[in-house]
Amino acid sequence: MIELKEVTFSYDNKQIISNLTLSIKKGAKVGIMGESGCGKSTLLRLMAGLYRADHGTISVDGESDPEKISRKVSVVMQSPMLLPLSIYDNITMGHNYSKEQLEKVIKMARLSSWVDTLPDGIQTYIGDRADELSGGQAQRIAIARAMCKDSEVLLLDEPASALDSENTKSVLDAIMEYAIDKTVVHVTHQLKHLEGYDRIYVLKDGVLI
Amino acid sequence: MNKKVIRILKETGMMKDFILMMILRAPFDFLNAVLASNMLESFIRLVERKEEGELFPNFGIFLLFTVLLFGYNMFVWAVVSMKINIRFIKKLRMRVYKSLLSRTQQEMEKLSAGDWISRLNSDIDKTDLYLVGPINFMHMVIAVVNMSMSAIVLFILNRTMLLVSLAVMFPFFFLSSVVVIRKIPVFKKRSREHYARFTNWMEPVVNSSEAIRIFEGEELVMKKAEEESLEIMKNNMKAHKRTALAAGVNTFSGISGYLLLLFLGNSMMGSEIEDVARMFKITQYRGEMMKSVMMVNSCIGRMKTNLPGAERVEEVL
Repeated sequence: MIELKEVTFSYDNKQIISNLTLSIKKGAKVGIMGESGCGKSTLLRLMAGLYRADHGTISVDGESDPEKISRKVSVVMQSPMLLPLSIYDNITMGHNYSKEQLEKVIKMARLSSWVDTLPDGIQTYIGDRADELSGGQAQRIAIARAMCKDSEVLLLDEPASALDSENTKSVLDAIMEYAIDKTVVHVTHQLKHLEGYDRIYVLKDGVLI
Repeated sequence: MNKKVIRILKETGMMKDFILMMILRAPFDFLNAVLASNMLESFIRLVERKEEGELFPNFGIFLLFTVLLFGYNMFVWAVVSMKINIRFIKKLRMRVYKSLLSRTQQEMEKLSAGDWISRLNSDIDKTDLYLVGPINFMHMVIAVVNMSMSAIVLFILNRTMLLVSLAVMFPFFFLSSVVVIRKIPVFKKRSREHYARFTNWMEPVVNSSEAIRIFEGEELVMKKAEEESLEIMKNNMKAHKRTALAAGVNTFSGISGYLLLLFLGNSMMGSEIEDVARMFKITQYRGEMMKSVMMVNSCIGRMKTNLPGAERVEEVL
């Protein structure tokens, strides 16, 4: 499903990823750990087609063009990356989804109880900096967006790093419930967030251990 | 001048410099009118007296005065105005920056990043345009001085002509500045607000570019940015239509002034005008009055276009 062959990547003349080879099967849940700044997020961005490798090949579901890889994956980043639009627009990103599908992802992302209390519901404008939202609410919208896209591959970059323990559990549970049959790559520096994962790697000096 | 703009000048400590610049520039149009009308009168008198040989030396004198006058004006524009203008912009930007830095996060969050950015950049430029830009406040002052002084001269030379000129001027001035131009600031303010929202899209586009790409949100972002862009254009067009209409009213006012003169020329004023040279002088000042009214009208239109920008800057101070 995800294949990295002899991938090398440098940023600002510093080699971040060195000759890395990795194969992730369909439906597998893979965790990647490492210290801050070791290149975990870079590796995830390479897998998401957001960065282009200097050497080697990356393919997702048989596709190796980074532009097309981006279309095939869903990503939840550390920062929710919300736009100054309504909750609805942030979840759908302008695509048409059925009402049932939307209701389903809102429920799965644990957004229903909060959205139901809003006067404009899902059409509520979330502000220019999404500053009226709590970290948990914003991240849940980002998760709902990823769920709505419903890709076979879900890439997670410390989605719970800015959340308290209660929200962390709620957010991670929501993701795992949804991603039961998806291929998941989750980068984090907290081992406890990778409970139940099939394989866990450690990224050190640009290589996986 | 608008109260908020006066406050900007006070806050930047540039009021005295601005008044000095205004005093230095204000008499230019009138002095030019005095030169032109006297030259015309003098030339006609010389021809009437068959003293053609005096024409060339006379022309030389007027040319010298004209060159001196334009040289003076150029010096004021290029040296005095330029220096004051640069200092004003520098001080205003620093003052706005200082005001931003002294705000709490809560206050900062009341406005979007795009709104702050546009207030710091294009709105400051609009303030500068309002005060010293072409066909704005400064030109209006010059035109008002010219109009008032020409009216005084007309009052002395031929009161009937002054009354006729005023009778033509005021209805058109009222129509143009009160009825037509009045709405321009409303459209321009809306346009500035949409411009701020449009600028505001830059922040999420930069910060959320990865999400936009992954979730194929390009079309949504483009659509939203386009909506804002369209609103900017719509409101600018409405303001532009008003400006064009005001320009039409100006032209019509000029034409009707001539028509009125044609009707009244012989019967009413002919008896009061002693000779041809004097008549040319009088019509020259009448022309200056009309020209100044049109200039004041145009300036008001442009000032109203730039005023919302200045008001947005003043709100920050």
